[in-house]
Parts: sequence; structure tokens; C-alpha cells
Amino acid sequence: MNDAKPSRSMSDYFRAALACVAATLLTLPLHGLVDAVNIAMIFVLVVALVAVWLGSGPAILAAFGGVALFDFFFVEPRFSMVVADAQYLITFAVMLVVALVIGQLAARLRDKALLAARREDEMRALYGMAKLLSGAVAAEQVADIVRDFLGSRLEIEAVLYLPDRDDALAAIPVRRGGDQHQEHVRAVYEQGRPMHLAAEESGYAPALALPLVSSVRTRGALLVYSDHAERFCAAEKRPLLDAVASLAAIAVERLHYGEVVQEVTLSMESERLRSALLSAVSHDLRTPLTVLVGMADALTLARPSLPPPALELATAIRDQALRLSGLVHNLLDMARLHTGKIVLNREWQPLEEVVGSSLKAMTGCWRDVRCASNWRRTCRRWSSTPCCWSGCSATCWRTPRNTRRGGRSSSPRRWRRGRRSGRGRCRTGLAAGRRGKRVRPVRARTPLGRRRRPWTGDLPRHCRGTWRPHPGGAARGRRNPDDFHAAARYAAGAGGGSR
Amino acid sequence: VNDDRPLILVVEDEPQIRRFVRAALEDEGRVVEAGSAAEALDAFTGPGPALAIIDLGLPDRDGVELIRELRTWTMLPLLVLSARSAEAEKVAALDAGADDYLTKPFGVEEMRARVRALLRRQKVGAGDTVIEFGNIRVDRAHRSVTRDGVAIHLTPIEYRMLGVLLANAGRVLTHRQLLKDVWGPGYAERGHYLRIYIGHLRQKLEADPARPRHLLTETGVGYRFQLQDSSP
Repeated sequence: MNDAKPSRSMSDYFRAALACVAATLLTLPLHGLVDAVNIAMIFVLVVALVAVWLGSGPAILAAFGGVALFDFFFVEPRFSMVVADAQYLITFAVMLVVALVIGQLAARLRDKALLAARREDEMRALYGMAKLLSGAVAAEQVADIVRDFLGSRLEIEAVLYLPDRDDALAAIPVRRGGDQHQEHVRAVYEQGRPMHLAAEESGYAPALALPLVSSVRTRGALLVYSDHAERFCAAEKRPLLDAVASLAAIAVERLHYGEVVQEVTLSMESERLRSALLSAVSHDLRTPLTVLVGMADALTLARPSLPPPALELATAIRDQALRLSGLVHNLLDMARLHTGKIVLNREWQPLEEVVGSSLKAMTGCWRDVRCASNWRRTCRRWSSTPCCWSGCSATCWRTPRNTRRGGRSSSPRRWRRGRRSGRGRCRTGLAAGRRGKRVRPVRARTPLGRRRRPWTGDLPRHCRGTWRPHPGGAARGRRNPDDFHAAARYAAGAGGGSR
Repeated sequence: VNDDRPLILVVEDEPQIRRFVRAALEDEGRVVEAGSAAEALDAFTGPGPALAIIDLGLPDRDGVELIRELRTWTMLPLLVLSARSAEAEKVAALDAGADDYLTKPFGVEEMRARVRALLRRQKVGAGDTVIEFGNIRVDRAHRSVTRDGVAIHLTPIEYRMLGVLLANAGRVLTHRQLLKDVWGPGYAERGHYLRIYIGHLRQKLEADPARPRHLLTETGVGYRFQLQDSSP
């Protein structure tokens, strides 16, 4: 803590001298009536009063002046500085020492009282600023409050630098005529340490940049500058500037969290409304489609049976309604995906379950019998492989189907021609790899009927012993599902995975 | 007229859907309609229905709440018809006590098949010691499983799981229900146990494990054991 002493001017010394003269004039009529020692006490009292009112420097002047005047006017021979009686020398010495000690003590107390009063004033001003900052609802308000406070207290200019969404610092208020401090303020913001900027360094007025350090991170920087560098460079000014920077940081952080809460609330509300809208749309679209499908179905199943043309029409209506339903389903799923709020429940799934679900979903969609049989054969080969697929249990069954659809729609036209002509150049298959290295599916039985050890090349040595082909033709872990899971996960590839 | 056919309660707020569902189920039993949850509860006075088909979006109450209330005093099969297609909503309805779930729009034949399966499940009951499906024969009295007369070895966990599935044949069992019934309440979150043992059962019981005909996956929801061949 720095003890700032109040400044003294020449007038204080003049007043001290004047007080000594006044004391002399007042005590002159008492000469002969009062003992000289009592008159000396009056001069000591004057020194004490000067120390209380004017400080230590004038008190010292008053002490020496009082002794000299007392010697000149009241000690024989009068009106001369000559001392006839040597005992008066002791009186002068004691008087001077007592005056100096009392004067210094009184002056020190006075300085402390003044300092306490000044600090109280600063605290009150800081409290007022904190109160104003607590009510600020925008960064511009925070900057205005800080600028007004520092302008009125220290007569310096202040600018807040706050980061935007891209973490670029922007000055508030915007500085006209270019910002020479931008790079230095950026360094202060990144390093979190204050920096003094001399006039020649910044190309502008001398400045001091302080980081706005909050409890979590640095929220920006406060730049103060003035043509009179002593207004903010003095050591006794730093506590006040640091306190202002801390209050500004708290206010900025509060605004930041307010914005976050507002965004989250808005997002939740919009999400709730979107979900409600999607549910309502889903219900309103599916209900008539259900009626359409159900009634068309009822027509096809009616007894006696409808004539063939009518039956064909009913079946067509049903198929189109189901197709429309599929489109509606996809559209609603896309709308949900666009919200970006879908949380996938990522788990390891046995491959056979994924492809089985996918095949079930594609039932009735296979137009190319050969392609379908290839696909099923691929799945059968993989179904006996200890391989897992990492994905959301609710959606991963769509992956093989979507891959196949994507392959069909985006493959070159000549490939599609080839596929239609039965040459089978457009293929969809499964492959597993680990770190880019292809892994072959396990063949549990060779053409000669002899059992082969399943592929365990990439498994750790301690896992290989736990793998046995079981009577159904698959390889599995014998002991614990966790062993199987870990090994299967390893096989599926931490670095590669199924694709 | 003395009609011994089972009584089927259809709880649906949309009259057109009620109409074709009634028409579709006339062959399976007598159909009684209810447009709201209150009307559905009124239908239980007197001889109760043998099966209830419930829509989740009822005007006076949520269908899941109705299912939960019905499950406090009746074990009749409940089939849910709903436009809610999210897996979490299906699981909520099934965990509340529903036996099966059909997402709108649905085919009449599929609905009939589900209704038949649920009614048959009532008839089969828990007392049958021998159950056959496909070329598999399960003798619960002697704890044996055979395929075409050849014994199949099942581990205790696999056999217990098969027993739970057979006892709930035709019904969708959520992952949580299966884990609790087979392993115990402390294992309700260990879904990978389930997937592995279901895979083992498929390897041993299904002709083509990648295209199961009896042990079916309800994607994102759970599993259903179908006694009759489910292939199209």
C-alpha cells in the first residue's frame, strides 16, 4: 500500500511564518506579567497547531521560527539574538525538540487522516461505479461508465477492448483516426499482463493497457491514456486502476453469461416450438396417409374380391400412399437433422444385426435380384465375422441402405447401364480395415470342410487365445461378453473401422 | 347371438381410421370402438376386451398414461398405433406396458398379423412345456432345445434369454426389459451384453442369422420373438 502524502505549497510555509509572528505579537503584552517559560509553551502550541493544519514542513519552519522569535523578543538582552544566560540554551533546545516532535506527530496523523478520507472517497466512487456496472446491459454502457469514472477521478481517457465471436478485439467506443494501440492491446489480452506504452512506442499519447481478468478467462483489455503520464503511471494510482479493471471484467463476464443464457433459452424455446411443429405436422400428415393406406388395403382384402382393374387401382393407391409416407418420413427426419440437435447414441453393434436390420428395411425395394443376392451373400460372409459396427443403434441400420442408394444415384451413367444390363459393375459391399489395411472376413470352414482358425492377425496376443469357432460356424469369445466386445472392437479397428 | 370370438377394443380419435381398423379386424373378433381414453375405460365395464388397440394421441389424455393405468389392473395385450415414430417414444410406450407398437401408416395385413400374434400369445400361455418354431423344438420340462431332433447346446444365460423371449412371444421387449429379466436390475444399462447373446442365439437357432425369421430386431427399441415364420 502506498502512503500518498498531500502536496504542500509555499503558501503553507508563509502561513506558518505568519502564525509565529501572530503568536509573538499576541504574547508581547504579556512580557513581565508571565514567566518566559510559559510564553515558550505558547510557541510550542503554535507549532502543534501549524502541524495539524498545514503539515510537517510548515511545522518545522514554525518550530525554528518560534525559537528564534522567543529568543529575540523575550530573552534578555531583548531585541537581540545574544543569549546572556546560558540556561536559556537548554530552554531553546528543549523547546525546539518538543516542537519538532509534536509537530511531526501531528503532521503524520493529519496525513493519515487525509489519506483515509481520500481512500474513503475512492471507495465510495468505486462502489458507485460498481452499482452502475451491475445495471449495465450492454458493453457500450460498461465502456461509458468506466470512461466517465476515470475521466472524473484521474482526468484520463479510457477505452475498452472486447473480443467478438472471432476473438478479434474491438474498441468501445470506436476510436477515430486509426488505432495505434491495437497490437499492444492484443498482446496484453493474450498474455494477461499489464503493459506501459511510452508515447514514442505507441505513436500516440502515453498509455497503460490492463487486462480484464475474470474468474474464468481474460475478457478483454482496458486502455487508459493521457498526455500527462503521471496521472496513471504513479504507483499510488495503480490500485485504483486495477480495481476499475476488475470491476469492468466482472461486468463484461456477467454480460457474456447473460448472452449465453439468453441464447440457450432462445435455442430451447425454438427447439421446443420446432419439435411441437414437427410433431403436429407429422401427426397431421400421417393420419390421412394412414387412412389412405388402410382403406386401399381394405379394398384389396375385401370379400368378394374386387374385379382385377379395380384391385390393381387399389394396390397402386396403397403403394403411392406408402411412397408418400416414406417421403414425409424423410422430410421430417431432414428437418430434425437441420436443427442440429440430434444426439446419436453411439454404440458398438454386431455387424450381422446392422445388416439384418438394413435388409429388413429394404424388403420389397430390391429390383435388381442379382444385386440383392450379392448383397445378402456379402452380409452372410460378414455375419460370421467377429466384427462390430460403431454407430447409433437407432439409425445405423440406414447406413448400408443409404450407401447403396447413394451409390446407385451418384454412379456414372455407363455404370448404371452396366448394372441394368446385368454386368454388375455398380456394386455396394462391406469392407473392414484397420489403419488403412484391408481385413478379410473370416471363413469358418474351408472348401475341404476343415475348420480354420478365424482371423486374429490384428488382435493382441492375449486376445487370440480366447477365440474359438463355435458349432454354428461363428467365432466368439467364450468367457465374458466384455472380452468379446473389447476384442471385436479391436478387430473392427480403432484406427480403421468398418466402412 | 352367442359370439365366442374375442372382443377387440379400438381406441382411436380419428373416425376414418377406426372405420377401416374395424373392417379389417371383423375376421379376428368382435370390435368395439372408443374415441377417447374415457370411453376406453367405460368399455371395460362388463365382459372386458381380450385385446386393446390404443392410439397415443388421444384428445383427453396421453395414450402412454392410459396404458400405464390399464397395466395397474389388467394384463390384456395392448397394441399401440401411433404417428410418433421416434425410438424413444416407442420405448416409453413399451416400457409403460404396451405389448407391441405399429407406426402409422401401417398395412392392414401387418396389423392383423400383430393382432393374431397377441391373441395367440394369450392362448399359448405359460403352461405349455413344449414349444415349436421352424425346425426348432424347445422342451421346457426337460430343458432341451433340438433342431430336427439334434440337440443344440445353449449356455445358461442363452437358455434363460430364450425362456424370457418364449414367454413373451409376439411381444416387443425393450432392451431394458430383457436385461432386467435375464441378468437382473443391476444390468439394465449393459446393452452390449444383450447384443452379443442375441447374436449367439441367432447363430444357434436361425437358419440365416443375418436374416432372422423368429428372433427379430425392433431397431432402436428392442427384440421380438416371433413363433411363426416372419418371412414375407
